[in-house]
Amino acid sequence: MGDPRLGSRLKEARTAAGLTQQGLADKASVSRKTINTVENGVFVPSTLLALELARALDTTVEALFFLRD
Amino acid sequence: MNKDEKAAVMRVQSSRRRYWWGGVAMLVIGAAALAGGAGFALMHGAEGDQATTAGVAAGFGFGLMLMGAMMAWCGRPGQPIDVAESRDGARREKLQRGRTQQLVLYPLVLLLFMAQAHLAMQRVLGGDHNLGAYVQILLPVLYGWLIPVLVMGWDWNAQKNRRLMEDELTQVLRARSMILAFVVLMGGVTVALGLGLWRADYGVLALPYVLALGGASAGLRFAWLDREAGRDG
Repeated sequence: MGDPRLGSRLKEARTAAGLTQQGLADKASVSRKTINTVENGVFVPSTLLALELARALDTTVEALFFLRD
Repeated sequence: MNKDEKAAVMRVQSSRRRYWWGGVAMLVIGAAALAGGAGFALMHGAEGDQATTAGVAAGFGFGLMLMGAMMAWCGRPGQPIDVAESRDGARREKLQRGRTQQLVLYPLVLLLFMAQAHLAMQRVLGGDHNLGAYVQILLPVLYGWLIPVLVMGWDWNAQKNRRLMEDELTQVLRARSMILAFVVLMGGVTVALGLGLWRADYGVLALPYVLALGGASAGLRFAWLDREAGRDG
């Protein structure tokens, strides 16, 4: 499910926004487990979900995810 | 109370109203069937088929009354409403947890039915073409089908709550579970074919096991992956 090329700053952005995993999950209309797996790099979100997460955190997709060299 | 919370409270109130009035209706119909069946049997001194029919009506009525009473109790007016538990997030967690519990429970039930079906298979293959034996064989096969139906989200509950029970992670878990089930089915049918070529009755005997194993592997794999997804780190 995961891909080592994908880097994520989701956890940092979420905690900076003062949200719990459940809080972000509610805002993005997904399960807490989805947030957990994305944060742990177990699951690569689709473009749609990445955009939803960025919107829920009031940031951009590029600020949340990046390609590792 | 914000808009979402108001909507959640209204949803709970509407659901409770349905439970309350549905339960009351079942209670009344059940009481009528119980009174009718028992009254007919006692007043007319029914015997034979008539007594059986009256007994079935009374039993059905009693069962309906019990179910109705439970439904009415669950939806009784005046209960406090927990707004936090009624929100979408909490409902999503609850529904998805319920699905995972079912996917663990059904393979266990399947195992019990399989033990029963094995004896029935031996009877049928031994020439005893009894209807009861066929039903016993069908039970694990039906459960073998039921589990993939739940995994795929084709059941009534998943269809009704699609918005809450379907997300990207669910789709990924589903795909991985069904891949395993497909491999188990292919392997199982290959073994059954080999057994069938050696001894035809062994091949037939193996088929319900293959179907049950295929279904169970999909359910257990989904439950396992779902559990892993909830773990931190």
